[in-house]
Amino acid sequence: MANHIVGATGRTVTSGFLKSVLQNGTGRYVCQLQRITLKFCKASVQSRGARDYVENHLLDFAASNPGVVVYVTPKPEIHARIVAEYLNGEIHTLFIDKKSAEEIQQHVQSLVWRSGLPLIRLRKTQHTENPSIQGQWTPFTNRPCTSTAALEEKLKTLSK
Amino acid sequence: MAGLGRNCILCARKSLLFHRSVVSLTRLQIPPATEVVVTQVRGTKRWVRPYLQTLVNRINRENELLGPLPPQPRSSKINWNYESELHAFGPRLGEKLNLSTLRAAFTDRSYVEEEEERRRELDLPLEDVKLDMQDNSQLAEQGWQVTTNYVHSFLRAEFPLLPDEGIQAIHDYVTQEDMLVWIANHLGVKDLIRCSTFPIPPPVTKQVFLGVIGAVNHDQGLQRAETFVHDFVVAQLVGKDVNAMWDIPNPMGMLAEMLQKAGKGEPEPRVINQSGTNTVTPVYFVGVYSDKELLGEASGDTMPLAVEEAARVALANMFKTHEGRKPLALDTRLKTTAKLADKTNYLENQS
Amino acid sequence: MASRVQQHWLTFSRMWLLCDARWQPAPELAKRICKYLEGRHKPVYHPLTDCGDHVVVINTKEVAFDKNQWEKKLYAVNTGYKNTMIAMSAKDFHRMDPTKVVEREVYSELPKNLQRKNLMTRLHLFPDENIPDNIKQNLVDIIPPVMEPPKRLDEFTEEEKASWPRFFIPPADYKPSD
Repeated sequence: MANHIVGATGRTVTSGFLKSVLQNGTGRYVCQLQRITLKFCKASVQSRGARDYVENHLLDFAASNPGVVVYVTPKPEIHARIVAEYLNGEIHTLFIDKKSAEEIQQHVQSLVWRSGLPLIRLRKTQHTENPSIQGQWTPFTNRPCTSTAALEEKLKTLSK
Repeated sequence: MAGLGRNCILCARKSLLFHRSVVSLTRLQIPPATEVVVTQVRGTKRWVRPYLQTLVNRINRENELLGPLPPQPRSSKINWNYESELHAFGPRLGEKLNLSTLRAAFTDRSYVEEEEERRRELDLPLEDVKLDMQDNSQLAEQGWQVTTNYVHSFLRAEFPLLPDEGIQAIHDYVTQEDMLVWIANHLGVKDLIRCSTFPIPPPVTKQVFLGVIGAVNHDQGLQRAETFVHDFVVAQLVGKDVNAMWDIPNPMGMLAEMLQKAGKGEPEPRVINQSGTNTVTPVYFVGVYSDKELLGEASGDTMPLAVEEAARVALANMFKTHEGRKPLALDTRLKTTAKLADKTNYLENQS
Repeated sequence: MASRVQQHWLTFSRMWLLCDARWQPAPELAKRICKYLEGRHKPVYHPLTDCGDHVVVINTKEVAFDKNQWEKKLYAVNTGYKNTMIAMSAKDFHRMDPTKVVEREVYSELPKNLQRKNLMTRLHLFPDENIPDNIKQNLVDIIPPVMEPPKRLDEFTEEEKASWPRFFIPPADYKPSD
């Protein structure tokens, strides 16, 4: 499947169909990540990777993604986390305790690539609003014109 | 339970713990410090859980009484910088926009008036009260002109046989207020609007979005503005039923008129198939013929409905807006009015 | 394209199908009727979709069994009183009510789930050729028979009898010896 959620079986997660936000990509592609907030502790060991990321990678990220607003808020004794806000109003929080800077970089990149829609189990890997060009099937499709005549003939023989 | 204090920081409602009746409740528990006797107790503190449970119950009861929290603007949060947000808006949409133009596009008239009122209340001299702040009325007008012209020319090129009322109906659908507000909110316009009221009323959002289109037109020229409209406004037609947007009041009469103009015979509806006619769920399958030629076929649960529907289908077939038509040319990059006009002329010459 | 509502109405509209049970083997006939009752003949079929058709069966009193099934086959019948469940042979069962054999066969052939009784309400059984007018008006199509009913000798016309291929034509004065 297109999405991989750990432990996602048939009934544990909500399922749905592929969607796009605002027909994104039909005209031009708009990165759906609106703003990103890094929260971490200045002193704790668990936030070391987050601090490393802020020192070494964050400026590069901000330069390469000018459409994403980056906020950095150090807070004492907090679980390090990334709060990503998307254009469709969704907010995703990702905890980055005990993660190295490279791992955090990968997580941030995955947040950039996402559409902001909740992660669901996809029932099918493709979806279309117009399922058929030649027209939907009906009970009268390809029905031979002789069948009505045959029925009438049969009913006539019955009434005799 | 143990994380109750931490929750209070995250959640606005749970902070009631600290400033409402809960505080008085805790106060009651603490004896006055006249005589301090320190006793050390080891083991499980069995009072903690029921005590916290009482607090939570109390909060829940208050929440039920007070109802949900009113919506707060994004700018009320700590991590908010208007300049940065404004800076990111252009690159996000792939447009190079001037910040002052953009700031004007996001400013509603009511915001300027409110600011001036505030200054007047501060008893400033009258010449200082007047703000040199632009609002978005001019830009919005420009944006509306660009939008309506482009949508009209695009639809004319796509559906050359459709009458003007049909084109107008599709145009009205794409540029209706709900649609423009929906698009604007999904482009991050919502948080940047400067308006005196909150929640922001839809007409203001619509005007701001048109103002953004006007800003693109102002800064980058007409061609970029048309591309903008193409990518974000016209693209909403994907997957929509074009025929449902135009409600023809008397399709059979219109069909008869069209056929008369074309010099063909009168339309003649005939039942092709039917089933369950004597039940509560009948179905009639009706075809409309003219000069023994099938123009369109449709179904309905009553005969008049089926005939009307068949006439609609026949009209759609004549206007080439039927189901099996080519998809909209959204990916062929026919994105300027000049190119669309070329296409329209070409099609007219062909026909 | 018609509007989506009408399209949907048409796609899932129920057909009324006529089925002649005259000299048709009952189990095979039941299988065929079930296919149409469940809607398995449609390309839009799905087990969770209610897309079956109505089936009107006529001439159920002339339904057939092969071998000695009329005597051998037993149906469980309950008269409604306590301890009155009895096994009735197909022959007796058929004599009691000429539509019951087809009904039982179809009922046992349908999938054993909660939809079975709903599907059975769409089966209309008539012992002879007489169909009420309100049902006759609904009919759309004929279900093809399981097997063509054989023709009796008295149903052949004189011409057909005359043109029937023969091994030899006996002379007019031919008398078979005893």
